[in-house]
Amino acid sequence: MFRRRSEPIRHQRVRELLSSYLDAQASERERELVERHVATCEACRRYQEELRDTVQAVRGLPQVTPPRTFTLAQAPRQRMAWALPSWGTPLATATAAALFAVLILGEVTGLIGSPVAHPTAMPSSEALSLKALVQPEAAPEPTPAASDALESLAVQDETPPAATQELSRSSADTSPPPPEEAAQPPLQVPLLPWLQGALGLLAVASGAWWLRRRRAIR
Amino acid sequence: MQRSRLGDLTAFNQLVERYQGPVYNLALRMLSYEAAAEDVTQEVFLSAYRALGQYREGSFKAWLLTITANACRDLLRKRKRRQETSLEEMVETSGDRSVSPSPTPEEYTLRREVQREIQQALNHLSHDHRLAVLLVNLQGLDYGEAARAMGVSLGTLKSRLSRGRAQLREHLLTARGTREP
Repeated sequence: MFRRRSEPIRHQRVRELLSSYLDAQASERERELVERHVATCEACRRYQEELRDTVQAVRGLPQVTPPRTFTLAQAPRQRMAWALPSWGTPLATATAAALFAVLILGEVTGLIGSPVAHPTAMPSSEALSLKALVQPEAAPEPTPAASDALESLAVQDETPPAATQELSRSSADTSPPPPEEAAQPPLQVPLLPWLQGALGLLAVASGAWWLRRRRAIR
Repeated sequence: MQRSRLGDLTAFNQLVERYQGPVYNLALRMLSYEAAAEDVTQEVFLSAYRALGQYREGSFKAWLLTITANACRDLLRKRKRRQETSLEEMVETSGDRSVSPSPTPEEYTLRREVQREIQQALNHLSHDHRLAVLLVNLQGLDYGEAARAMGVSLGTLKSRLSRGRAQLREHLLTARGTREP
């Protein structure tokens, strides 16, 4: 069974509804609730009268005549002479978001502005990572521990992939890597710093423009 | 309206003359300061002229009042940041130019006092509550128009209106108690 709503809550609920009730905007059910309660509750009936007086007081505020006319002497310069069509706003938003994403992803992955190995020269991702471990830039003498680790790797895998073979070869041969491998030309996405900056500014400007326009004319 | 949208300034100025009263009054009640209300009103019509292409349908008055409400909100934020004169000190909404019929001197004084109390009570409301009360009670927008002008749902508008009126009642009762010991 439903419990009856406690009296303080019922008063509160009715008083919340009274505003809409006075404007004839309450639903049928709300109207019945208000009328039934007010008929028996002196405090809420008084509240209803006071609320009605309040509404009347605001409505009674005089309409002040403007001190001057606000007609325009000349057409203001159109800020949006190049205004985009109706699909312009979504397009600007998507462009701003895409530019941000490209810049951030580029920075995170290092694909923009930092050298990366050429994809065709990469034997495998495992080889790259392992090679980075055992081939410092200056190609120093491998430590005994590193040699041991590579040997154990070769033992564990009876049919080592090309990457491991390469690693075994490079660890066995303490000489520096072949010149053509060492001088492998890095791939650099041709994105100059000033272009990065310009794209960033464009993205920020697009976002700011969109926000301003949205706020000014909601 | 069609001529205005095509850039006809004369046609647009006819709209200005028709709606400058509601725009100015909303700005005045929101800001409680005549000079600021004038500035906002002018800014609203400049913005409206530039943005006429974005006006699609519905009440033109409600659309103008939306721009007015946003302009008032921006100004109040700036004012708050600059810590300018408090609202209490700026309550000077002259009734001298009101379109109400001329009362006797006693009635006039009493009416001015009551209006000042109402304005002070309005100033105590939050921006959103004040706007809801003014759009519905002073500007006569229906609930749907007011909700669209504020960019909220009908339920939210009802809630803001209810709370705003309840707070107004409290303030007016307090003021009345102070005035009539």
